[in-house]
Amino acid sequence: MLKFALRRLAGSVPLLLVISVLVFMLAKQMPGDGLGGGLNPGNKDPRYITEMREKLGYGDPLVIQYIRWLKDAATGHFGQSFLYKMPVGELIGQRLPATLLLTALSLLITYGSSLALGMIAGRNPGSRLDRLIRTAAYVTYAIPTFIAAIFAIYIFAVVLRWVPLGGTVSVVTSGGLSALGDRLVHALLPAAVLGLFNTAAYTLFLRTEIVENSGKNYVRTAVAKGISRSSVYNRHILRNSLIPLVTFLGMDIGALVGGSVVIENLFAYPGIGTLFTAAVSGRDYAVMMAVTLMTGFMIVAGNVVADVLYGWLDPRIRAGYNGGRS
Amino acid sequence: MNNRYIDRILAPLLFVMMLLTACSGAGAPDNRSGNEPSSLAAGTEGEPRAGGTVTYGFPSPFKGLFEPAFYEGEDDLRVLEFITEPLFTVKDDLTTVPGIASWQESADHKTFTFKIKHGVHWQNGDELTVEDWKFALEVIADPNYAGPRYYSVEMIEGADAYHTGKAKQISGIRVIDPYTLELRVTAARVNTIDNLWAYPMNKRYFAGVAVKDMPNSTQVRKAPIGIGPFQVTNIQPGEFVEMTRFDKYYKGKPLLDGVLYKVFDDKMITSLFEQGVIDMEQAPRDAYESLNKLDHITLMQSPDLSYEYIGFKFGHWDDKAQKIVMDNPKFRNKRLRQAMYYALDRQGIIDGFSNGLGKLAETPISSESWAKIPEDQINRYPYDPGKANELLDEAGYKDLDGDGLREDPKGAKFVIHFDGMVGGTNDEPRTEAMLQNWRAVGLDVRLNGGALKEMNTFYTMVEEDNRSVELFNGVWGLSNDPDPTGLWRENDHWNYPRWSSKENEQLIRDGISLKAYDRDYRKQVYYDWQKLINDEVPMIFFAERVTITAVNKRLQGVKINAISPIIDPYKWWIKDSE
Amino acid sequence: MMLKNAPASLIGDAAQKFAANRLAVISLLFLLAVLALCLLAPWLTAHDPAKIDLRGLNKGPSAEHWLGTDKGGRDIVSRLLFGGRTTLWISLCVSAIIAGTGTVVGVLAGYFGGSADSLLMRITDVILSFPFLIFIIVVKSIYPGGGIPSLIWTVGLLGWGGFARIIRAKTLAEKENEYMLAASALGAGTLRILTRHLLPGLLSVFITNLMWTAAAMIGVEASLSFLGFGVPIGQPSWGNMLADALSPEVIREQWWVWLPAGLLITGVILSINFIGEGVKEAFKVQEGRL
Repeated sequence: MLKFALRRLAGSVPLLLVISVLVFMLAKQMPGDGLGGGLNPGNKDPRYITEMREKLGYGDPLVIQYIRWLKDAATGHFGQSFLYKMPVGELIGQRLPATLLLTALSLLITYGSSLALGMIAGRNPGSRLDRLIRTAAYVTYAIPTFIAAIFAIYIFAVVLRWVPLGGTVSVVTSGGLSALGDRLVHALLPAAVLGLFNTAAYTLFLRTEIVENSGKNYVRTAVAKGISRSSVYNRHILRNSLIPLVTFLGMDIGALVGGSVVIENLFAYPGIGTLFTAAVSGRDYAVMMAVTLMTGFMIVAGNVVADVLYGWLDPRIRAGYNGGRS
Repeated sequence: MNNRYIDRILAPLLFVMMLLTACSGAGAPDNRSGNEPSSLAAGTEGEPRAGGTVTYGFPSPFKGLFEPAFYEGEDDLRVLEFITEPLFTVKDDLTTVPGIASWQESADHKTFTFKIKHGVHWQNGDELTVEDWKFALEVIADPNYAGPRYYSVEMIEGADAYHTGKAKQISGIRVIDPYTLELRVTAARVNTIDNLWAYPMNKRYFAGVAVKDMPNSTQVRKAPIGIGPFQVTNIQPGEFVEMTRFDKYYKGKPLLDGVLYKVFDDKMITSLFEQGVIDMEQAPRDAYESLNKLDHITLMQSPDLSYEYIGFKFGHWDDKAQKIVMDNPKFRNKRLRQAMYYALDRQGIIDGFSNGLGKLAETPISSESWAKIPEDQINRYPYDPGKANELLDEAGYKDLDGDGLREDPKGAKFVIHFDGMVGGTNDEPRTEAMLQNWRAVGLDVRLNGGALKEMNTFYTMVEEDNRSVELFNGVWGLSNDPDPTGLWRENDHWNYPRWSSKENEQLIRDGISLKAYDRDYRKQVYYDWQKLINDEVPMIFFAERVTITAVNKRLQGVKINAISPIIDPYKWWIKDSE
Repeated sequence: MMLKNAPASLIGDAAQKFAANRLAVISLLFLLAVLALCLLAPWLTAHDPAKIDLRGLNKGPSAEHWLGTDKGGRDIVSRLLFGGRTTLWISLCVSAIIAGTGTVVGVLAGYFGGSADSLLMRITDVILSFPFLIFIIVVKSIYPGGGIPSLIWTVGLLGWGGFARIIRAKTLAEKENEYMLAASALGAGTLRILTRHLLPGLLSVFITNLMWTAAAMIGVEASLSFLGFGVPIGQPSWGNMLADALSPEVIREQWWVWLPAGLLITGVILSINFIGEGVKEAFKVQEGRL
């Protein structure tokens, strides 16, 4: 199993390298200094630009520049933020926990609620409850996150005032449990909305899987053997229905990070998403590229984790992977 | 801040803070329903009492450069205004007067002797001496100083040699005793004091930190100290700054226990005020109406030291000659420029998109200033499409092909490109309204590239004289001193329209000549200059902006002026909420 | 030969099956109605969607303006109709680019396999390794301007990864099908196999994914326009209309600004999804019978 995990990890290295080359090329396309943020894009003095370019080694061949940048990036040095006047690595470090909290919470809500809803619907196909859940899921699935968020803000923050309006910290608390609780409360609504689309998709998926699996032979056998229906559902059907869901995890992380850009902006939630849009509109290229690279790596990592998990749950995959191309 | 140049550098940032989030506006406020906005000081009720904390809101994440010599925008300035103070004071009428420091000026206006008060303390316990001021001047003049304030020390004798590394000392600064400093400047200028850097920097606190490392030092980023009424205790970058009262503040112990400076999203501002989450914030103009409905909120208005303009490009900047070249014939016809002024429904736009917040302006000198020309002496260019049509006909811009749009005097299609910045929610329809105003008099004005530009891109293109830029809608900050140098001379890089004239040059020079030490003479020079600008229309002055500051009525003792909403916060106190 | 007629009858039967699906048919009618209204916009409304009215900003619904006016005093109904043109046009063009590129890449990779497959799938992996929105925003910020055409090409050229993967998977499955093996054994040319046998087999997957993409792209337009990287502000589009609704005050007090656009987007996406489902179901039964 470990061997499989390591192999899968090694297999993603070329992809990571290609991604880094792509980001590097994009950064080189940017005016100013997309790699290190050492050039002030507002300063057009040709003398300044020449001087700085020399100092930053922009006269060197591209390959050398790339390797130097990669080395720096690997050690967490992404240069200086032009907008915030601080190292990009530090800046991202400050904002990352909020976004991680948001995505983790979102995943939790998604998996929790889709599991429950999918099971209820899947166990009673055709019932009124099933139809209700399916309709709700279909409609939710169709509403873009963007619009769902507007509705949610209106209902929960403006009308009901259940949740605060913005910011990860409402009152100044010097750490500890209460601070964590405070952050959780602030992340709750954005996280729920962020996961809404996936919740709907998984509910529908799980329902279909459960309905299909219930008709399979092994279930009939189990029932014939006298195992109680609920035990059959919980032990056999659910397990088999859940396995494919794991493969979505990789894609989820990408969708969540992308979605968090919209959600964080809508909810005025200070995380990586708001940092990214602020960087884009302030032409803080070093931050932009670091975030892009980071999200790319996160997605690849998510895929690796998903594959490994899948392999662990379903040994056939491992064999297939070992046998040939991925 | 008491300086034109700072404001100029800040102009883009000011724009982020104000126009972005709201939208510029002008005009006397028509008092709508709800509580009437009071102008300067909030009504005081009851006796001041000590205790409590206040939340001061700001609409965008701050950078965290908490040292006056290095900060760049209002985001950090608002915090600095709580924690430190300049040595001089700028009064409501924009004149600079003695504060912690007082001075004597020699007869040739070139030597100043400053005396500072005894017993002013830094928040780390040190007593303030002139060494701290000298240190600040040296930091800014240092060859490795990368901040934007060098102009504020360059008038000091020997600053140039120090800045280029040729001298180890600034020859014009002499410390006589810990409370007395003598300063020599290179030339007599009537506005020397207005331009001089006035914030001290604690020399002992910064010991061992190289100037180039200062912007990222702990002393600036994490534990800034000042001489003001509140001291920083906790900074969460980009989110909030927690401050508590500084008991040894030289004007007396502050009444409030502390201030929380926190970033909030402007979109939520009304709800946050309604819920009592924010006590005070400079509000976006488009939130005026909804905030005005809240009973427990006082809305204070103050004229903003900035104006919005629409510039014409007359030429380009010659980098070699360091001078403007007026080589673009497009707007050479004065009647065309005047017609475009008349065609704009400025008041309608301000009423519609800014709740009437803003004051129409026709010259670039603040209406708060002693040098502002009375309105009856200039043409106010009221909205008059008829007059605009008449001027255009006279100037030879006629619609020859019957498409409703005018051709130029030679009969060729006449298209004007307009550039503006992306900002507040109303910028887009507001820009569209202007374009439609011009179209209504037959001028084919189009948005350059089909879209408003991001602020930095906009200023870069305007500054580089990008060929596609013809008409540009920008904002300038103003200083308390009315001297137009820096923006209006032919050798000013920031003269964006690239316009000047002999008369213009002469008048600006006269305004800071030795004769100008006579206030009446100087005033007359600026009146004449404003008349010239008013007739020539090198740019269409749109309006001076009005800032609105929303204050929860529980917070008492607040006073604002054109320079800042944070004046003597040590006097602020919280009313018992029964 | 029976095989030769298979595609035609397949489509015919599917159409019949589809017609029996009430939800799908209603959705189709709704979509067609929306399309017709948008296309006929210039003849349906007397209001110019761009005309600013300084004296009529943010007015509620009235006889003159059925759904009120926006922050520029512009008629909402007129903006909805003209905005629909923009949004649906973007969705259509982007989907065409994605479906075209995705199908070509997927078929080439799946049918020919080998190194072509490796190369194409690695490119797909790279494209899919960035969050879609972030990738688009980065590229748009390097090459700003260009208006709607540039938006369409950027989104289209960065968005085909998923489509290609699905088409490839289906191609691989089809390759193993008896009629494909038979055709190939009978010595049919590659082109003939591709056009006559493979492509019809891909039809159901193609159509359902095309539908799904078109629906998703409406959401993408909304998100990008909200963040300021989509349709240039001021031009009516459903996304831009929704972006107007960012302050709670507007949400609370001016429902006519955001609710119609929000409902319209939801309705259109929902109906496209239902149509897609209908198509899928219709083909599924057919395939089952084969």
